[in-house]
Amino acid sequence: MTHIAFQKKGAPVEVEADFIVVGSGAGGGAVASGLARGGAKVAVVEAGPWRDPEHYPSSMYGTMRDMFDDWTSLMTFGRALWPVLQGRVVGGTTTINSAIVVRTPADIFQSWEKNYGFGGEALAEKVWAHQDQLEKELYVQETAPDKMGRSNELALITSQKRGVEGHVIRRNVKDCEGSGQCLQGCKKERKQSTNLKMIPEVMERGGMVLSCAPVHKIMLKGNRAVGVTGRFVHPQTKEKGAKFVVRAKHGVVVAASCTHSPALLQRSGIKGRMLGQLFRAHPGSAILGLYDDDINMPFGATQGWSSLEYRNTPGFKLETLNMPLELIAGRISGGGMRLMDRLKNYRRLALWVVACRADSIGTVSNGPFGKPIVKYTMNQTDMAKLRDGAVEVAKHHFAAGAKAVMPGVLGVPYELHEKDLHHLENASLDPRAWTSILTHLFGGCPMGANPDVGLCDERGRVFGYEGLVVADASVMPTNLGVNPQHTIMGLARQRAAELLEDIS
Amino acid sequence: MSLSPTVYVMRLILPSVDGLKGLDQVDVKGFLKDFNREAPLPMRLTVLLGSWAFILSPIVTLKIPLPVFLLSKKLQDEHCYRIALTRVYLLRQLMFAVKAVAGFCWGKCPEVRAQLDLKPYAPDTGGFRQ
Repeated sequence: MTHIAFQKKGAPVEVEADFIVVGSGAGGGAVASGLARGGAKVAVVEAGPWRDPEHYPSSMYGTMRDMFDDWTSLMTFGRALWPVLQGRVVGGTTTINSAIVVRTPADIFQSWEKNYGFGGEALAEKVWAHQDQLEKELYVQETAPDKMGRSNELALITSQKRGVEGHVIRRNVKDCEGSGQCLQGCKKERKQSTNLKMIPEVMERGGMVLSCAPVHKIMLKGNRAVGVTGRFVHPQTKEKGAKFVVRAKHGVVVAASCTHSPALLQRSGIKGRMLGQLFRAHPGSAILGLYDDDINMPFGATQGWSSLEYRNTPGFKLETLNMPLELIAGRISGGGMRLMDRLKNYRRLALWVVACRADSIGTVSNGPFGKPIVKYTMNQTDMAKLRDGAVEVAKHHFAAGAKAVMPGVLGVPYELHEKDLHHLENASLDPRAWTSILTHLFGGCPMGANPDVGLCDERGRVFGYEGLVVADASVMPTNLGVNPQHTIMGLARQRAAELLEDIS
Repeated sequence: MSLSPTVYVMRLILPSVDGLKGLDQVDVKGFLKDFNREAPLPMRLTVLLGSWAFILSPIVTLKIPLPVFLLSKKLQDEHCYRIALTRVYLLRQLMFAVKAVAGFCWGKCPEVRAQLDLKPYAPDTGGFRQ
């Protein structure tokens, strides 16, 4: 078992493996463990440090510092500056997400086949078979009723009352204790993130992990990927350390996220007209509901309820999200005494979100200092969806007994009562008026039938190169309308099976 | 204004009110010392720029051409409220950044958490597997 963390400046660290996997999140963890099970020696190279549950932070300040990519300072460039949230730690975003598991809907494979020339039923069957297996491995289950927490309970009861589809979310969390700390990393070790399940398995099977090791370039010999290089970076001091060179006998698998994978490929001189294209997301906005009784967001599953009623038409999903006090302080409108008076109500607030299944398309490119640049603007149709979704969340709050809702949209009064909902229905469609974030990213290295429509083929192999495969959400040419982790893992396991087949 | 601009502004954004401690009763200086050591440069610059923008912008919110520290307490608070909702997008985003960082400091303070009947946080050790 080999783990190489930060190394001070000195002689370069040189290692060799059958396969290199760049990134250790949902895609990287799943493909690496799949390859290791097939007998391959795998080197996982992760930009962030390896933090075990005893190292996980508690506060959101610590979380930004220790777990998120660059303190979430990556913003979209476009009409509005919206933050892009991702993890940068062994386990990637799986350490800081809500561990939501949703099987890939059949219509996704159909749309990929129709619009991009790959996918269809054959791929669906393979991915679903991997997802069956993953659900067992990761103890996918619903949160127990006594650990749901009041906000999730209210949303669930209300969906039954309103006749709106709504369900308890299935998550890769084994016997959730309701500590409400999914975002900070689950200290109780209930969340089965890849740093706890898959990466240790890679090491047990003879693989190795390089952490604190951001990859600068993929090494090419002709058109064949033969390794990666970079320099260790200390996670606390940011001190640059030794160079590392990892050589691959069979191939390099890139799973560094929808922003870092395309940026890395560009930095490495990979050519392809679709590189950095078809970047998509599920932009989300939160609506707070103020209740008479105690909600206590810090207790319960961070996300325990979801509704897919509107996934296809008009195209959004609804979810609960228990948000820590620190983030609420930034989220509530205003400042000064009035803000503080509003914050006194923290325990009576429930936060529910709309995530828009946006058709808007952006691009990703490699910027200065190796930072990705994301250009993305929500079009008016998508903004209308987001607004419709926000109205639906508000209605759900009122049906649940909220005395007021706080949408946080510029131009809309701070507090809305049920009779005032028209203010939100007529809210501006200018993205700058909305406080939103980009989660659930897709594309940047899309799969397609040929290089005119995709950077990679249906097996994630980059067109025109050998031994270079992409295995994260960046290969998805469309969004999903559901949480992507399970699809990323299912596809990544399929990539592992194909790579093992190739070398046998 | 004998304080650093960021400390000064954060204390105005999240002041103490009846029954809830604000940043005037929290060790903001200590927090910012850590923040300035640990946060990436663009983030630190954004917060500093946001703080100065806050100080110099009563002309935008109140039509008063004075820096915020020359205003009465009441007007300072009014400015604080209005600047967070200004129609000038970049200014609003700068304020959002300052407010978000102020929120990180305030929300993890054990006394504040106790007042809201929330459990205190364990220390953020920053540890990692070596």
